[in-house]
This record gives sequence, structure tokens and C-alpha cells, in this order.
Amino acid sequence: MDMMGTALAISLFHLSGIHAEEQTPTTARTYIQENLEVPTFIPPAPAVEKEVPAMRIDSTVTVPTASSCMLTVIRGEASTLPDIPVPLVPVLRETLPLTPEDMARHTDQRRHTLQLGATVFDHRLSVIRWQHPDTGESYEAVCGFDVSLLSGIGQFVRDGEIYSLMLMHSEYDTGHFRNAILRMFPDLPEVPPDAITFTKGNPKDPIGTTPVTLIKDLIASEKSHLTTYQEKRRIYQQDAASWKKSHPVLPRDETIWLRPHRGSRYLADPKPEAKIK
Amino acid sequence: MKSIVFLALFATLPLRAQQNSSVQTSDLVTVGNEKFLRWYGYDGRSYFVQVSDPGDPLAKWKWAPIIEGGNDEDISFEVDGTAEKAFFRLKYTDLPVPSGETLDTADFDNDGISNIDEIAPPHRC
Repeated sequence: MDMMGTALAISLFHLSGIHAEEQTPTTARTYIQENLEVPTFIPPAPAVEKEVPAMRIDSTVTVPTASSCMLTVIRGEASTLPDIPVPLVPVLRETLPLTPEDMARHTDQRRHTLQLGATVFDHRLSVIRWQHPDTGESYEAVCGFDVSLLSGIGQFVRDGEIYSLMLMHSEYDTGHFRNAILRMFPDLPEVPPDAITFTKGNPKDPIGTTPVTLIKDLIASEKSHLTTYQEKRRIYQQDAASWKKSHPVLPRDETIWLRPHRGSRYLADPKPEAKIK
Repeated sequence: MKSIVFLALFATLPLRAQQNSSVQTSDLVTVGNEKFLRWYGYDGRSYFVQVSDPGDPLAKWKWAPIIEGGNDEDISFEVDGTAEKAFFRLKYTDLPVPSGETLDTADFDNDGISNIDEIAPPHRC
């Protein structure tokens, strides 16, 4: 069976007050500003094997691993590294009531921040799920387009405003999964190409339905670019997977070393820098 | 040639006999290329460190030859290895060290084997 299990994330985030450069093509109000180039896969250089540094070993344990190799864990001599920077303590800000401007800004951000979940069938039909940005009401729509074309797209522009995207999706080939799909989606409606059929949520609420209409417009206006981009991504991923398969990481003996640094009973002086201060 | 980037994760788990409710924190601190395991050592609490089996990551764990006693201050260890990545976890107990015993000689799980011999068995001749 041929199940494509790709997952990606799109979040649609409008940076309020920040506008894209005026490069909008006159023919498209919704477009992708970022470069859609995909580099050719270059096999990574072979890693340099790290060696256990010279140090006094105070205690060591060597045990067999599940891969029939050996793991050695060393407690070495005291670390000579300086104190770890103290973690930043989060400053608790006084909770002030939100001003109307704050609320308007938050609303604006929410409305331009989309987190979409989707199931894509045969690169032709997408069941997309999201929430109303103001009320949290669940929405679902069956769409006659392939939302997986937006894989790897993190941002786009609509009417000069910048959005960013987060999408989790999975892909199915119904030719292979017909029975399982029918069990999972018994009422999956057939929709014409580029059409949207709402199956959950209020289809008359313009705010609630905006996410899917934005996505539809984006795919419509950038389809050829996106198709080429996805093909290049597919080639890259295929090359990377093929290289990885032909270069498996072979199990080997490993050594981990831990050196007491601060506060340890194994140190003659658990707080060396305190004296300097 | 790239050098191996040693990735590490660090988590905390109480030992089975653990009953005290003090929230135990632990973290993996990265400073430049150096990595540290760090946790707050509560007074009266004893700590053990485990390293994940590279052959079965996050499923099988091996003891590191370390037993620490908390002293109401941070405890940290510089950590590194030949492996590309590693997972660590901190185990702890509030069982008191019996009078006349040490962290090493005590037998927290009452199996007749001292703590130190459990985590770092002596080499057999």
C-alpha cells in the first residue's frame, strides 16, 4: 500500500501593521513572496569521529548495548569550564487590563494566524480543519484542490499584508486505501475542482471561513509555482532518503563522559568561582 | 569534514520509592559548544544519572557511575561523547541514607547490593 505520510505545518500569521514590499504582481492579490527555490541535495560530508579527551578517569562503567556494541560511561576529573550563566528569571509583569488597542491588535493577529489540519486525497480533494479565530468554533471543509501544494510554505502576502502559515496534513491514495478511507470518512462529499463545501462551522461567517478562502486564492494564484516547487522538494527528499538508505549509521562502541562541574560531591571545591566573586 | 554535533536531552524521573513532592527540575544547558546537565540538588535527596542505550534510545537505560546528594544548590556535570546524540535522565529518591552508611554503601532498593555496586559493578578478576 502506498500511503504518503508527510506532515508539515502552516500557520497563517499576519504581522499587524507590517506590509510587504510593493512587489505585488498586478494580476495576483494573494502571492508567495519568498523564494521557492529548492537546492539540489548534497550528501553531507563524513563526520569526524570524536575521541575521548585526555583526562583522569575517576570511575567507568562499560555495558553491552542493544545493538551488541559496548557503551562506556565515564566519570572524569573535574570540569575546568566556568560557571554556567544563570538562567534568566522571567520577570513577572503586573497584569494590566487590556486596552481597546491591545484587544484590537490581538484580534487582528488571531485572525491572521491560521493553524490548519488537512487530509488530502489523491492530490485532488482536501479535507481542511481549523478554528474560528475569535470564537474557537471548529470548522471543516471539503475542498476541490490540493492543499499539500503549500507544504513548506511558511508565509504569503494578501493585499500587501504578510501572513505566515502552519499546516499539518497527511496524504492518501484512495486507489490503495478505498475501504479504509470509506470507514474514516463515510460521508466524504464529492466537490467540483476549486469548490469548497463546508461540513462543520458556520459557512456564512466571513471571519470563520476566511482561512480556507485565503488558502484557495493562494493556491489558485500560485499553482504553477507551487507545483514546480513541490516537484523539486520531492526530488530533494527522494535523493536525501536514497542517500540515507545507502549510508546507514552502523552501530559501534560509544563513550559518554561526564565531568563534575558545580555542586558535586566529587569536587574538591564545588563552587570555585564563588571565591573569585 | 564536519565534526559530530553531540545532541543531548535530559529528563527527570523519581525512583520507585519516591514520595516527597518537591518538584524536581533538570535541564540541559548549552554554552557555545559545551553541554551541561544541571539540576537543583534538594537537601536530603539523592540523585542517579542514566544514559540511554545507543542501540535502543529512550527504551533502555544504563547507569552512569554517579551518585549525588543534594545540598540545596545546583549540581552540574559537563557532558560529551563520541556518539552523535545522547539522552540522559535523572533519577532521584528522598530515602534517607542510613546511619553509618554513605551514598555509595547504602542500599536504597534493599536488594542486598550497595548503590555503587549496582551502578558501577566492580570488575571481576
